[in-house]
Amino acid sequence: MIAVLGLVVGVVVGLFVRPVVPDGVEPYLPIAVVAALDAVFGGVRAMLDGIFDDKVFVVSFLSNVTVAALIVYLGDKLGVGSQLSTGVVVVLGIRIFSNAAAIRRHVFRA
Amino acid sequence: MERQPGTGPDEARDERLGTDDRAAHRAAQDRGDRPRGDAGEQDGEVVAPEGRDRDEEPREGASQDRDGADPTPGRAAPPGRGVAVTRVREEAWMPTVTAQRDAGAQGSRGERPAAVSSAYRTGDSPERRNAAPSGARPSDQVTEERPRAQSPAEPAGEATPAGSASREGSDAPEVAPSTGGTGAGPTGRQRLAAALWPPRASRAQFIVALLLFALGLGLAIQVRSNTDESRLRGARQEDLVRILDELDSRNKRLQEEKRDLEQQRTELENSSDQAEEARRQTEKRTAQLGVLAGTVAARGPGITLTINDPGGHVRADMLLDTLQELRAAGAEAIQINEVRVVADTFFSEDLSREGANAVVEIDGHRVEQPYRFEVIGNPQDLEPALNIPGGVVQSMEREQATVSVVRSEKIVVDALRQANQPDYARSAPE
Repeated sequence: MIAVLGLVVGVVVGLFVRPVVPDGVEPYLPIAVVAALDAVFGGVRAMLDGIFDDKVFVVSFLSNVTVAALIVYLGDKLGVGSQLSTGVVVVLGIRIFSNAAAIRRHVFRA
Repeated sequence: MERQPGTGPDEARDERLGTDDRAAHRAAQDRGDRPRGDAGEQDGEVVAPEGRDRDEEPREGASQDRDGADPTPGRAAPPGRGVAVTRVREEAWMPTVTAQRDAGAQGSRGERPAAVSSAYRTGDSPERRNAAPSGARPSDQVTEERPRAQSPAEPAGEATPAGSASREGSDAPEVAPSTGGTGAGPTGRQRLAAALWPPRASRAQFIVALLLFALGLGLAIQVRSNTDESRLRGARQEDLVRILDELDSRNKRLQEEKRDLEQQRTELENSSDQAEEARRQTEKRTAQLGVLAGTVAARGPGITLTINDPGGHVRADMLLDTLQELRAAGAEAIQINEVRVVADTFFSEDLSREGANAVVEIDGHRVEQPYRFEVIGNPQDLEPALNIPGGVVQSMEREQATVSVVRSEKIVVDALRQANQPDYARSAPE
């Protein structure tokens, strides 16, 4: 519950406080958000599976975000940034979908 | 902690225990629990289930889960690995299960001794789990055999009430670490409800809340910056280049359109200018022709010629000579008394009347003395033309007429004539 509250508060703060994101980080924010979403979906699934572990969640969240941003950064340096970020988004999207399917099975039994 | 089937002193009990334990694992798998997959599962990675799981797994949900997961390398884990983990867990759990069975309890979680729970926790922690395979390696061949012993025992374990009791009991610790020890329902829906309400202020909750806060923040920032006009800020260089190209081509298109429209506007303006110019020309021409035709009044510099002829010697022919002289000198508009002189002006006189009775008519109008000519033209040309030796003035003065020529900068010729529509002549295109 507190976690959900955290998410809601984050969205509200982001919408109303309008924090300034440093220019250097800005291109990697969307991909990091997608990676974090992937981690969150994985965490929800694990919770429904009853195997949730906060430590694993924290580590996976941070590493997901970092790795995704790093991949895009590397892609930018190599000149294939948009293709690589597309690839990352596709992979993360597939994982989000499979996790969402597991969650759906848990919640709706279908 | 190796357990060779059929070697222990109370073999039956051992066997029994193993079955229960496996049943417990089955139960855990029913909910999607996988002994080793926990860590990977959580970070979204669908970890390959242990070989054992898959062998005994005709369950619907789980097999679907695995479809997407198969290609992951975790799949290739040695068969002994997962079993070893199971064994570690068994180590930790045997006392509990035994105790519970001994007490004949239905394994309610609240009864579980805290010490056991913590023992499980340590046994279940990732480090320990990861470390377990190497430590348990010697037991590999033992575990290889386990599936064999398992299959016949399976139905029995499933059927007995003791089996379900221990399933309950062994299920709890699986859930306990994640849900903080409160009652976790067997279904995901119940777990979800339990996780959402009532709120628990545990460290894990706060850490997760912090991360989710960061996620929400990033999400909101990103959504807002995408809806903002400043969406270019986050764009990558090549995207910017592409956008710039698009803008360039669009700009070019718009420039061409603008050029076309400007050209069109210029043409329209020119045509309307031309129409205006033509109208002006026409008006000017109308005025000129009106002056010539005597339909409009005229004014300008010129002279006034007055002829006073009491003797009546100045006849129509002399007046006509005077008029010709004036026209030759460049007179543009002429009026004699109240008659406008135009192209078809004619002079006539009654030859029967002589001297002072002489009557001169111009265009059928009788003109009385003195004859007064209002002439518009260049005065410097008109006056000398009249005064040249042997000219109009001298010849009239020979006839005892008094003639005066007065220059003026302001001569008004305001006698008008009706413009007659010609009966036969029609204007022809040039």
